[in-house]
Amino acid sequence: MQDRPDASILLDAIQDFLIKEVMPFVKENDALSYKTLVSWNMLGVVSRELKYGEQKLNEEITRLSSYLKGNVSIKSDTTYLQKMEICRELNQQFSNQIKEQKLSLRNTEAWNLAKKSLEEKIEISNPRFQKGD
Amino acid sequence: MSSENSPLKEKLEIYLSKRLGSEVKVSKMIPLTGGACQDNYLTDINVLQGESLGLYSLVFRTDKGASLLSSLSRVEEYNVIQLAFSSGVKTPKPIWLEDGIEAIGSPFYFMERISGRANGRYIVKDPKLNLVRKKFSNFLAENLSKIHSVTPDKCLDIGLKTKLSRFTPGEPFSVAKQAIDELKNQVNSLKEPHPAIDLMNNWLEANVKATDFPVLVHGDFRTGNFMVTPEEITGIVDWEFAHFGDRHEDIAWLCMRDWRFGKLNKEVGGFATREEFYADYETFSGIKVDPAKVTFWEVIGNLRWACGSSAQAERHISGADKGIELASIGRRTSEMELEAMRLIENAG
Repeated sequence: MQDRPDASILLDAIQDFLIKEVMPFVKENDALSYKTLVSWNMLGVVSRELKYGEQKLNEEITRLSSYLKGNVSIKSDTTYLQKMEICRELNQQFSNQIKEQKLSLRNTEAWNLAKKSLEEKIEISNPRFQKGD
Repeated sequence: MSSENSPLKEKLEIYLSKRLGSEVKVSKMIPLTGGACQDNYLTDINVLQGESLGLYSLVFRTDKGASLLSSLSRVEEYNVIQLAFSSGVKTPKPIWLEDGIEAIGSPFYFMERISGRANGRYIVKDPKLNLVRKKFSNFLAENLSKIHSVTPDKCLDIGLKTKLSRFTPGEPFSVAKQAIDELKNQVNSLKEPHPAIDLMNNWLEANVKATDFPVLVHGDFRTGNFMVTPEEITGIVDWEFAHFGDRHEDIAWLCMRDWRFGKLNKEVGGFATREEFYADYETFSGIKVDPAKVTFWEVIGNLRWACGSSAQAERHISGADKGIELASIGRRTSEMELEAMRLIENAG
């Protein structure tokens, strides 16, 4: 176990540094201020992914597995990277099924399943998006 | 931003001296943040004698090693800009095209340097632009109409016409069908599955739209690709994705959520409502905008940009071209996908 502060607090500190101390010096330079803002944003993504990423991944695997009527079992020692690979494989099967069966808007279950995955990605990558920012 | 490129400066002085029959001094060669497929330099050139005598403030454009699917080479881009410029489109005038590789290792050309900034957030939000922003809809509608007045028969260069044409003559659905095929190829080339895009590709195929007649499409007509000062729009730039296609493709691209830079209630580029812009466009072009076609092409636009953002992130991941802006954009792919789903749901 690492000493305090945890990773999330460290990321918050770097975010504060970028926005409060670096940004005022680069704000007149479009390219640098853009990169600073993007960096600040990405630290937020990493922070949210640390907090909620694995939980969302577990939920996506469960939903996809249920829809595809598969039998995916996540063991207690399955690592985060292994879960990502399992999820990628399930999404590939889902994608193949959509192409083969020409699924679209009218196939409500498939449509809502794909939409739910996008919404969950955006909750991590840009939670303000859904609020219209 | 790195310092001036002296070896390039010397090569261009030799080339221009020979071409213009005069001693030429290149007094500045400063790299600009470029697009994916070209290098841009800000340059000042002094022609000391002859017919071209004078001081020129220019931008120098040359090809990068890599290029994106369907983007134009610098030679093709120069010829497209000439077509648009001669049709009255306000765009920086291109000059001194060199289509060989002997001078500097790749083809290049120069264009007039215009004042202003293209930064999206500045354009939609800076209070200094409040007055001029009210003229954007009118100006852009007028210029888009002029771009769309260029039809394939006006392109006399057969090679260029072939490169620009993405349709089968006499087949009104071929423009949209080809766009869907290209989109499928794009999504199939991505490293991760995107089930939402697959669902939407099927929707596009079932709702394909006809093109009345193909016109020159800018291909990246959006906030961020026109230069603005507090007094005026000084010019439309970035022609590397121009082609002959459907006029609604440009209109839809300008309306995409991502180009509103947070001003979501102004659905056209973050500065105008659809009603305002469509009315302005219809006044200048004499052609009625079809909202269903705009939706169709806006779905395609969002999905193209979703694939494009994923591909840009891949450039960072593969090590081909590193940078935080490239790395981060991969995490924005889902925003364009979700926006396209919303458009389809609203269309029914």
